[in-house]
Parts: sequence; C-alpha cells; structure tokens
Amino acid sequence: MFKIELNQYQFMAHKGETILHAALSAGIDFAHSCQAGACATCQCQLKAGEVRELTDFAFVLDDEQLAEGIILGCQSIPKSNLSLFKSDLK
Amino acid sequence: MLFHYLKFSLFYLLSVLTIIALLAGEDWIALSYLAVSVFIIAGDAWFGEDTSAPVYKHPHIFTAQLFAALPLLCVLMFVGTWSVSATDTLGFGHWFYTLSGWDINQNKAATSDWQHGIAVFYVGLMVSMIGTVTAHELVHRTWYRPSVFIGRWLLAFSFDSSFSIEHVYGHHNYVAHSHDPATAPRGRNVYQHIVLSTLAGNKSAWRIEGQRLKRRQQPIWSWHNQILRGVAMSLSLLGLSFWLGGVAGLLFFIGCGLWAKALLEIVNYMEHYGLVRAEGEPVLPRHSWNTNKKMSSWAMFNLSRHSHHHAQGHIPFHQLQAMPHAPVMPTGYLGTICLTLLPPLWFKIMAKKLHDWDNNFASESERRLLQRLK
Repeated sequence: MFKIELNQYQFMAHKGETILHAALSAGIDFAHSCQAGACATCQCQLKAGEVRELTDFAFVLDDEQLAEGIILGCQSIPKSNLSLFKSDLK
Repeated sequence: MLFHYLKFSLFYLLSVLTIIALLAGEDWIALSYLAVSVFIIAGDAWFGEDTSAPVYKHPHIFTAQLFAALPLLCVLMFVGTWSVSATDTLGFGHWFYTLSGWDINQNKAATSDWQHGIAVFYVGLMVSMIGTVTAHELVHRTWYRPSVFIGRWLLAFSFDSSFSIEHVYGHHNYVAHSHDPATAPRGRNVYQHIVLSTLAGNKSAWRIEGQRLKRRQQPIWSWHNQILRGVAMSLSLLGLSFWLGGVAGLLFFIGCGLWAKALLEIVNYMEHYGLVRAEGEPVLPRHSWNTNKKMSSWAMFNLSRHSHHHAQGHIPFHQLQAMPHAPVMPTGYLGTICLTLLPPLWFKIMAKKLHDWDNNFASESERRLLQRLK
C-alpha cells in the first residue's frame, strides 16, 4: 500500500492499482474518460514519488507536459508514496 | 471453474477444424466453413447468454492462450498457402503421408479453383478470429511489451499493424464522436464503412504516431516508426507466402488478409453504429453495442462485452463484466456481421434499436446533438 496526496485529499493505493482507480475508490471525483491512456482527461502532475507507466505517455502528452511531470492517472501505478496535483479537481 | 478456463479455447477447436478441412480439400472446405458458421450463429441463438463473472486466480493461462495464437496462425497460413501452391512445398504433403497415411497431395490436386476461392473467405474469417481478435486484446496490454509485439505480428497478417496505434490511442479516445473513423454515422452502409474507416483509420494512426515520434525527437522516416515497422512485417509475410506457395500462395495470403481486415471494419461498424457522445462526456457503456451471447463471447475472448471494454479500456478480457443493461446488438457477432451485409435489413433493424437508444440511453446533451445532426 502506498499513501497518495492529491491536492487536499489523502488516500491509499493497493499494490498494482492505478492512481485513478485508487482515487475513485476513495470517493474522489477524479476526471477521466477512456481509461485506455488515449484521452488525457485523467492527467495530473507528479510532484513527488515514482510511478510505473503502463503506456508511452508521448502518445498523448506534449513535450512541455512531459517535462512538467504530467502523468496519466489511469495508466500510472504507484511505486512509492506520491504527491500529486490535479488542476481540474474540485 | 475449470469450464470457465476451457471455454475460451473454442478458437483452437475451430482453427484445427479449418486446418483439417484445408488438408481434406474439395467440398470439405465449403462444408466445414458452413458448419463453423452455423455452429457459431445457431449456438448464439440457442444457447443464450453468458453473464458470469468468475474471479480467475490464474490469468497467466489466458496470456499463454493469447500468445499461442501466433504459432497457430502461422500453421494455418502455412497449410493454406501449401494447399494452393503448384508443388508439394517443403515436402509437407509427403511428410504428412508418411506420418498418417493420408494422401493430402491427392486431395490438393482434386481441389478446384472455386473451392480454393471459398477457402480464402474461410481462412480470412479464421485470420480475423485467431489473429485480429487476440491481437486486439494483446495490443491493449501496453504495459507488457511482449503482448504488444505478438499482437502487432498477428495484425500483420491482415496488413493492419497500425491498428495497435489507431485503436488504442485514437478510437478509444474518440469513440462515438463524429470524427472517430471507426464509428459509423447513421445511414452509412457497411461497404462504405469498410473503405472509409480503413482510409481514415490509417491516416489517424500516421498522425498519432508522427506526434509521438516528434515528442520523442525521433525521425518519422526511421525504424522508430511503428507504422513503417508494421508495413515491413506484412511485406515479410507476403514474401514468405510467395516463397512457400508461389503466385497462388501470395494471392491466397493477400485475399485472406484483405477479408480479415474487412471483417475488422465490419465489426467496428456494428459495435458503434449510429451512436453519439457529446463533447466532454466520458466514454460509458452506452457508447457501444454489447452482446453476451455465449459462442461469440467464448470464441472471441469476450470482445462481445464491448460496453465494459470501452468504458474501461485497460481491463483484461477475463475481468470484463456482462453489462446486462447496456444497449444490445441484434444477435451474436457472426450473426450480426451477416445482417450488416444486407443494408436495407440492417437499417430496418437498427432504426428500432437507435430509437430505443435515443429515448432510453442518450443523455440530454446527446439528444440535442442528435437533433443538430438530423
């Protein structure tokens, strides 16, 4: 289990669970759509920690986003405790 | 529980049957094609639905099954090209005779051109089932490179490795939008869709891959380009089929591959025909036509549970739920394919289903969108 800090929220992610799934399980309204790593609706910024990427983010994220540490919530599995920021999260 | 593991082995049985029919030649080819088609279509009609959702403790068995599709498809295509070649390629017929006492060279000589023609459609269907369906599952597993690698080789048999890009990063993003190549708008017939979706799908794949290469600062005309690698894979298979079966073998391979690709576009057509999604709406089960018919589900690794597949694109096939409240396509997959081929009948059947969708599934914004599209 890893601890995830997302904006004002804190929740836990089980082993092998995506950030999106863990957030939704915690009752957080984490914006998402295709859940295939194609639409980038679930994008968020990785401020601290490490994730395993389930797909090549360059298919949907541009240079600037990649440099800023933007990741896809539905395609990222925590490898450590994480600190995340999602700009469209209420 | 054992049955739930075994049920997804159906395509092995059908593949072996196809290989035996090709070896027997003559009318056995058409008879076997008919038997397989009737078995699936009638089975879907009679045996009803499988809505079970077992929890599988050994999913690696399914991964092995999916991977096994590649050698199986290689054997099928070898036998296919051998069956049309002018010579006993690699002495296969002679070897088989010494092994079994069955003179398949004689069967081959007795098989007429039109019987070989039927074989193209039969084997094309199997390329679609063994190759495209399993590849679809494998190329979604982007987190495991061997899966994508094998999936792309399976797709190369139908000249469509770029599907691994367009489907995952294009179609799953744009499904039910008017600019999604694979979603057919209301009124388009399946024959138009095969051409339009193929052209637009390849164009979309090239754009998506080009964007990825640019971001990775890699040249587009290089080995890094997955589309160019896919073309090279298909060309190598064509070269191999020519070497094994001469011009006849090459034409046989091309015919099977094109039919398999056409079947993929027919399946795209019936999975999303006429459905719309408003901008900003997430992909939900209502944006795909679903079916839980047994034969379709078991022979096609739950591709039929399409509503859940699109709502959660990263979920492996054995975890897909039946979604009994999703919009339902007319019947199982092969039966629905047959219906699409008769556009007047298809439009008549779907008019009722779309009316139901508009009234009972569409969101308010989607109803407004439909009004604008009229």
